[in-house]
Amino acid sequence: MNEINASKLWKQRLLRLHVALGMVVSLVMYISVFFGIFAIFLPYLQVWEKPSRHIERTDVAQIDYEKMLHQVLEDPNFPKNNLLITLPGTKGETALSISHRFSAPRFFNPISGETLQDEGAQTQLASFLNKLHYGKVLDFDKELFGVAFSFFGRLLFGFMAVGVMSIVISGVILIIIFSYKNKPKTPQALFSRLHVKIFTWVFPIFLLITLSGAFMNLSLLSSVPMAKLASDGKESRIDAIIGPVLFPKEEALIASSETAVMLPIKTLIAKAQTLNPQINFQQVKLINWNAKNAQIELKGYDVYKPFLNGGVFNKPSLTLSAVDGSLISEQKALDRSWSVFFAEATFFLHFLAGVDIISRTLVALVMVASALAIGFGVMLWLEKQAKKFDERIPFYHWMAKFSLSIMVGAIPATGVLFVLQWLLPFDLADRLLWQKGLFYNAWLATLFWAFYRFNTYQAAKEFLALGGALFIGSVLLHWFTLGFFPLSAILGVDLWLLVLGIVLLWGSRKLPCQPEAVASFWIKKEERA
Amino acid sequence: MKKFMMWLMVLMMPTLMCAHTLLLHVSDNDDDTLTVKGEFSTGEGASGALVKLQALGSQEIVFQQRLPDSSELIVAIPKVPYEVILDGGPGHQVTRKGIAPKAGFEKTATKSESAAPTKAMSQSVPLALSVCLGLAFVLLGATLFISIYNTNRLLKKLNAAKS
Repeated sequence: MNEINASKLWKQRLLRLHVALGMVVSLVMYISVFFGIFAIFLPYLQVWEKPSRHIERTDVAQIDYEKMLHQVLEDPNFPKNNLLITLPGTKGETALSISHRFSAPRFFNPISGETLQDEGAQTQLASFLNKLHYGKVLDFDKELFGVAFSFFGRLLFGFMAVGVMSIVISGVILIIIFSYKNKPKTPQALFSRLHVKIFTWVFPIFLLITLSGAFMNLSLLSSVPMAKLASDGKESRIDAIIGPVLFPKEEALIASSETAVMLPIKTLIAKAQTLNPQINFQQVKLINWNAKNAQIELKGYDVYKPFLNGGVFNKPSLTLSAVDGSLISEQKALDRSWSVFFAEATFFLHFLAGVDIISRTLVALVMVASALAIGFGVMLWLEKQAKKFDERIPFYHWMAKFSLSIMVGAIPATGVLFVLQWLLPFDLADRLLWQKGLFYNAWLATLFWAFYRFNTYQAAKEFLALGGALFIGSVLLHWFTLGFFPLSAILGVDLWLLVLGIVLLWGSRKLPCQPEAVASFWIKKEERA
Repeated sequence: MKKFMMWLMVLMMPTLMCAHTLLLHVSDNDDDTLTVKGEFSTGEGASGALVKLQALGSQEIVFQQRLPDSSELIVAIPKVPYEVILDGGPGHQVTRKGIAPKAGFEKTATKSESAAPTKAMSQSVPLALSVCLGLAFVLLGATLFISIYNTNRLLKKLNAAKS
């Protein structure tokens, strides 16, 4: 009997732990997942948001690189050696950029060779959405206030990710020990079933991505003591110790005093492609250009070895002589050490380096399912709370309103962000600050509206309708401002936003408003009977 | 053990790791010249980074040159108080106080020399930040008000129903 009681008590405590921890981290997790969905499409969004990038894609083997290179070399303030050419198509970028490690990049139209007026800090929609995903929420200035809050945000999101891992593990145990096979007859039972069913399918991917997220946000904290420990107190910076492993020191090649005629860069790229057809080249480094010992180093991503290369630490490369195109050295994707592969794989799980649109869409769909599952978990808790209240008055709970604002209110607030992208003039002073500030205020306004409405479903309906209208509006404003770009990634983003807007409007139309209609919306009458 | 520690370090690696830390070393050569060396915390040289010697007060750039392939530069010490800046591109600047020549600086920097506005003066709060923060406080106040107002309405309704 005691054993039965102990087992029952353990199950009960595990469930309570799961619920309590879930309610603590669910809203932060939802924010991370919600903006993470946008961050998955970051390469496409950062092209969509910039008018200067509304140019056609081109074949990297057909570009006249020298035309743009000469413009940079003529600039007396730009470094001349070790120039980096980032090829169009890298991370979704349509422009060609020439940069140096210590100089801001210059952007060019790869077809015409003309310099592009980069919008720079005036537009950072995609970057801001990405920062919202990992908690760098208040980096509006570089002074103490902004830095401290952005650090706090990342810390909060990091601990949240650790909490989520505990929730997922306890959730999996609960699924194993409890039976969830009964047909739901109440909204509460349905929310429980949906929460369990969705996470049963998506938890392995969700757990892996959360694990890599926790690793990224929290490892900063542990790096200083670890660095001190490993170096007997000599170093406090972790990069001084592991940097040489991840980024091997490159020996500087002294330029020859004799000059020589360089082969065209497109010829060298074509030659490198012949030598290693598996690499999708992304960046070219020009070493001692125009000297007799000039070299060209081509780095990229081996598409046949995902997870292990192409991200931050492991980029397979070929180095050719720029004079005759002969191969000087080659580093293949699998030439590095296992520690590099580990670091690369962890980052790959989060950055999806080199991943195509179909795979990105699949990951995004998993994240949408996860966001819905988190939402159903919170609704389940709220349904339980609602039973404790008197039925003669509407359920008016701060957590219901707060959750509504965070989870559903985030949709119209993000819609405001997209509309402002095309509504605010690009030469407006502090444009980004206005955009961010109005976005936060729009989000705060949804909190006000959630408390204003007694009926939470009605407020949710209004948020969905407003969000849908704003996303569709942002596309129309985009077309009105810059025109229509057929058959391009830019049109793809437009269509994606249009579909999102239509789905939100449809959801708003379907969602019930009256209390008596709510129960029949979730559970059909015959099922309830 | 060391290998294990290295593995553990990679595991604990921060995102900031992606950008190495830029370091600036300035040393006195005792002949009224100084050696400026730039490198990354990983030991890699910083050739191509821009070295600037900026006068204190007037903010005048008295010397500027990019680091050569050796990542080292020998510069004559200016006669006026100055600071050494290693410019590693947007957002990456390292600054060190300038070493004085053997005979000392000819004149000291005074506040009256300052051509540029002081940091406090130049950092006025942007209009966007003021407006958005003001609006945020209004919205927060309105939310608190409506929450209290609606709660009271519900309590009255509940009391009326009970009585």
